[in-house]
Amino acid sequence: MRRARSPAALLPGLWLAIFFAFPFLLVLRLSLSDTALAIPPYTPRIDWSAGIEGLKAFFAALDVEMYRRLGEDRLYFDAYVSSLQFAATGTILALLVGYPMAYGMAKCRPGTRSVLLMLVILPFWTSFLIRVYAWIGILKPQGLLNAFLGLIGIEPLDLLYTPAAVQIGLVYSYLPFMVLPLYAALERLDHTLLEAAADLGSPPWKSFWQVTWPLSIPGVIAGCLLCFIPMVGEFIIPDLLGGPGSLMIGRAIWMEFFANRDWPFASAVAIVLLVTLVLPIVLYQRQQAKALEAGR
Amino acid sequence: MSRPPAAKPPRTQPVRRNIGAVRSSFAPWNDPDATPLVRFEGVTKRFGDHVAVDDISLDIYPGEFFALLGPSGCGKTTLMRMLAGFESLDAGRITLAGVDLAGAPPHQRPVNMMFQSYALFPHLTVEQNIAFGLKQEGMGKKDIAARVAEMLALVKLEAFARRKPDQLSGGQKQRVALARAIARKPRMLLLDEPLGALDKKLREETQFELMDLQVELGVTFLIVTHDQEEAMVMADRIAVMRDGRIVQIGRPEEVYEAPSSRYVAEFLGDVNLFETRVEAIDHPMAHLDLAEASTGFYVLDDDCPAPGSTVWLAVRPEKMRISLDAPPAGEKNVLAGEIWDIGYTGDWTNYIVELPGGRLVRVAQANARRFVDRPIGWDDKVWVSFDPDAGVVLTS
Repeated sequence: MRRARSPAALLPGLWLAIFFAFPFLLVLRLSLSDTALAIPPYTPRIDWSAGIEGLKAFFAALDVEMYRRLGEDRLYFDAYVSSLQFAATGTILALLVGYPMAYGMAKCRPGTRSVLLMLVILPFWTSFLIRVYAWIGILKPQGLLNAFLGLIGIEPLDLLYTPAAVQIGLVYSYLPFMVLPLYAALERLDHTLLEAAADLGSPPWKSFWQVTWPLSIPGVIAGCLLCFIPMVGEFIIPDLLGGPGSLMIGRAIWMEFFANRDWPFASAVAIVLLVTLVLPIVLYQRQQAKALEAGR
Repeated sequence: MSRPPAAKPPRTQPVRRNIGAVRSSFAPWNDPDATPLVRFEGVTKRFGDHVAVDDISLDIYPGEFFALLGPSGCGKTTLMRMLAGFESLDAGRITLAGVDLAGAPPHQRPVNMMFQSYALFPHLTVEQNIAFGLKQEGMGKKDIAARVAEMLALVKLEAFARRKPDQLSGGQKQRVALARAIARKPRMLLLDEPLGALDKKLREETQFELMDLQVELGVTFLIVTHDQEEAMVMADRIAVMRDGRIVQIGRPEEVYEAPSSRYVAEFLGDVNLFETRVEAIDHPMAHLDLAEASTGFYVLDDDCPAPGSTVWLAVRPEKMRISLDAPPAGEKNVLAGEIWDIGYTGDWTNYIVELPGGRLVRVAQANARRFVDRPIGWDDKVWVSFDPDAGVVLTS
C-alpha cells in the first residue's frame, strides 16, 4: 500500500532545503567560481537578462580551479591534518573526562541528577566568546593556574598560545556535547541487567565492560560526533588561545574569506572540509544498517 | 410396660480421608533426618520504617519446588533477592548447604535467578546470552559451545541462536532467560514471577514444562508469584506471605483445603465465610449457630474452640450443592435463598445466591453434563447445602 503523504511530512524536507541545501549550493557555486576584484568579489555571475544563454554562459564559466590550487598548496593539507588531530585528541580527552562524569550523574538520585544536569547546561547561558576569554585569564603566565601551581610549589607552566591551550579550550567547550548524550544513554540503562550479570557470576568491574560499556556505545558515538565535527572547524578557540603554530582549518577559512577576500577559495576549503566529515558518517551509517539487516 | 427409649437415630459419621486430590511421596520436610538446602533463620529486612521481611524462618529441601505466594508488597520478592544477594539482611542469616551466605556478593553465590523482566542482554545474541554465565566461570570455548547447544535444545530455541532478544516473542524471551539461568547448573534456581508476562495458554503450557524441567535437572526451584494457580500447579510446598511474614506453609492441597486463617482462605481461590458462634461440641462434630440457617451448621470439630466463641466457617463454592428442591426436613447445613446472579464460564457455573438477610453465597458447579432437566434461572428460589466435612472452622 502506498502511504499518502501528509503536508506535515514535507516540512522537514522544506526546512532542510531552506536551511541546509540552499546555503550549501551557494557555497558550492562560490567554490567553483573565480576570484575577482569586484563586489561581491567573484565571477561569473548569472546574466538574467540573457535568459537561457546567460545561464549556459554561467555554467560554462564554472571550473574546479580552486580545488586544484588547494591540492597544490601544502599549507592547507597541513591545516586539515592538524585540525583532524586537534579534534581527534580533543574528542578522546572529552570522552575520558565526560564518561565518568555522565556515569556518576546517572548513578545519582533523581533529585541530585537534575541539579547536576543543570550545572552541565549552565555555561551555555554565558557567551561562548567570554568563556574562551576567561581561559586566557586562567592560562596566561601570571594567570590563575600558575598562581595555584605556585601555591603548591610547582614550576609555572607556559601554556597560553600553545597547542596545549587550544586542546584545553576544545575539551572545555565541547564537554557538555559529550556528557549529555552519554548521560542519556547511561540513564536509560536497565539496572536489572547489571543484577543479571552479577547473578551470572560477573564481578562489578567486569559487568561494566560486558554490559554498561557496550550498551552505552550509541551514546559514545553520538557524543564523539557532536564533539569531533564542530571541533574540526573550530575557529575562535585556536584564534584566541593558540599561537601561530596551532594551525586549524577553521581559522584558514576565516583568513581567506575576511583577510584575503578570496571567497571562492575559502568556499573550496569549506567544501573539502564538509566532504571529509560527511563521508565517514555516511559510511558508518550504511555499515550500521547492514549489520542490523544481517541480524534479522 | 414401658416402652424402651427410642433408639437415637444413627448419626452419619463422616469418614476422614486424606486432604486433597493428589498423592505425593515426596515430603522431605516431614523427614527429621533430611537436611535442608537453604535455611532462612530469623531473617529481617527493613526499608526505612517499613519492615519488608519480618523475622522469617524457613527451610527449603533439595529437589523441592517451593513457592512464595502473596500479594504485591508482602515481601516475597525481597526474601528471594536476599537469597540471591541483591539485598542485605538487617537481622538473621541465610545458609545454603550449611554455608552462611553473609558477605558473599551476588556473583559468588551458587544460585541463579530468572528475572521478572527476563533482563536479557539486548546487545548479545541468544547464544551469547546463554553463554554469559559460563564465560564468567572461565569455561573453555568448546565446552561453552556444547553447553549452549544443550541448553538451546532443552528450551527448543536452536533456530533462534543468532537472534537478538528484541527479535524474539515474549515466550521465546522467557525460554532464553530460563536457559541462561540454568546453564551454570546452579544449586538453586530462583524464579521471580516467571510467567507473569505470558498469555494464559502459554502460561499453562510453560507451567508443566517448568515442572518437567525441574524433575529432569534435579535442581531446587524457588518461585515468587502472586498467582495462586501458578503456585498450586507447580509447587511442592507453598508459603503464603502477608506483610513480611509467612502465614502458612504447606502442600498446595493443605493450604487450599485446610487454610489456617481467613486471609489464606480468601487469598487462595474463592470462599464463603460465615461469622458464627460455637453452640455446642459433640465430638467429633460441632454445632454452629447462624441466623440464616434455620438448623444451624453441623461440621467437624477440628480445632474448634469452646462453645460460646466466635468463629468463621469457610466453605469453598465448589463444595456446596445447589438445588431447586427443598431438602428433607431436619437436614443440616442448609441455606435457603434466591438466585442473585449466574456466571457461566463453560467448565463451571457460578451461582450467586442471596440469603434472606441480604448476604451473598457463592456456589460453583462443574458442568459435567451437556443437558440439564431443570436449569436454574435468575430469581429462582434455591437451597444450598454442604457436607459436614466441607467447611473449615477458622478462629482468625
